[in-house]
Amino acid sequence: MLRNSVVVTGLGSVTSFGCGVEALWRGCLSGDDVTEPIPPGWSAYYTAASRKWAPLPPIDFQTHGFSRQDLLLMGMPSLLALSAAREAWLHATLPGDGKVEDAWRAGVFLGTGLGGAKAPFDNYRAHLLSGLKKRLEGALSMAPDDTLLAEHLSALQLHPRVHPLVICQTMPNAAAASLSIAFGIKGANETLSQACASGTVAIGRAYESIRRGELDIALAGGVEHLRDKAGGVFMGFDRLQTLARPMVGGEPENRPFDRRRSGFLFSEGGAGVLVLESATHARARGARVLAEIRGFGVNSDAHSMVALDEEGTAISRLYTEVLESAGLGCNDIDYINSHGTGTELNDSVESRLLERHFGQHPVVNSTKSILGHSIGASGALETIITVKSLEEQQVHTSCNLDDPIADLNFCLQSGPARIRHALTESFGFGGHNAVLILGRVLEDH
Amino acid sequence: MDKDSILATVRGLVAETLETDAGHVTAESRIREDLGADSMHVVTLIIALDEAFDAEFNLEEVPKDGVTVAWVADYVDRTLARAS
Repeated sequence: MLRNSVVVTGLGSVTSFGCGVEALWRGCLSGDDVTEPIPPGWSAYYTAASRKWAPLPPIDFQTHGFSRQDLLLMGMPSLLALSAAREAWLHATLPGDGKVEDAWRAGVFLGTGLGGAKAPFDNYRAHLLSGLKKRLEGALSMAPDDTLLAEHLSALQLHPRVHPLVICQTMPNAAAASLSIAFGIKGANETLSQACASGTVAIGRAYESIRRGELDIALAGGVEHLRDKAGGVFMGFDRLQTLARPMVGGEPENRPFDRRRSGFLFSEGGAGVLVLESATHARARGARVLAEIRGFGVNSDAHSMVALDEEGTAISRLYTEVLESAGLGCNDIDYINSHGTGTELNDSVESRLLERHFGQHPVVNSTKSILGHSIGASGALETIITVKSLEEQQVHTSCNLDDPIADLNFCLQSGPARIRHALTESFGFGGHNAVLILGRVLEDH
Repeated sequence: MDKDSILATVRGLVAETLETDAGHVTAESRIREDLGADSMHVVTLIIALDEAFDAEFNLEEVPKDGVTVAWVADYVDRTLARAS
């Protein structure tokens, strides 16, 4: 480990397994099923082809140190990101008062795909229906015995309240700002939005900033929250035919890299936050190093808003550049945490490129085969899984992979693996490609 | 809801919003001058009123100075009467 290297010293997450990285890691090793039928109310607005999702469990934020005031003011992305950041902070054994030593040399880098999309959906839905409600009320006053009309009206009992902070809750940068305020961080405060690659890009940008010597320490990761009252985000992805559809016989539909895949499992969201530091900073304060970030790269397909470039020219170039910047060859990569969504084209292109560049040596899995796709949070959660895999020398199973589409070394059963270097990658709507390479750090370093 | 119940609820919400002991909050307490509420506290109180009384309260209708807990309770009472 070189003096100017960048290391990971803390991890925090909120996922369908609940709050905490340990719950996430154990859940992934067990391959536990987190899917549930979509909320019945969503079907009142739309008939979806996909029928399942991966919700978050109920979270009692007040037991996680949030005040009543926090809960009234903050949107879910801020609450989720702060929960994950507090865990990462404590995990990194940073000062208990929650403030950094040199606020100007600390940064926040947070990725999100849709920011606070839920806030306007929920706030303005009632207003869009209020005109209709007034007309029905007028009609009912003329015909008070019309029970069918009364029934229709009762279905529109939506109070047209607007939260005074709906704009702040909608801003994509609200979660990053919440972290900056909570931890007194005054250096960089950046929100990265590259759809499904957002979390990976955020961690990469933090890595670059520390490596250039601009910062000593950063909170970096991704957050997403996609549950709105009418299921508006879900229906958008469903309408685009990107979500996994029910299988005949009721078999699990979330099956990345399987021949019978039909789309990704929609996740309610979550948050993953890592503490990144310069090795010098970590060493000076006696922090335990979990992994080293060895390389990062990002580029763009310049091809389509929603589909990967089938040639994979940009991704191929990215592999070459990031490996070179890390001073590694393809054979040095022992584990690949794939993007692995379960969509027809994505898995086809990704598996072909992985096979071409890395062959059968690295063990490959898809964390989305368990958690589903949490868009802007996914890259951060998958980086956390990659750090845990390096640290514990174990790899979690890739679920529901009965008939693989490629001759890759897919992990079909969780277990031990010798991993020196690992690669994790994300590809986002709009053509964003991002790759991170991480390395194992032995205790005596 | 009668006026006494509204006042009791408002006192509780003010105490919760300002994270202060409910014993310090009386009907005569001025939320800014006596209890130290800043503009964010007032926004939070409005959200708490929205949620507790299932009605829409408007920041525009809250005077800048001299707002007592009793004034807030009376404002809630007037707003609920308007909505019904």
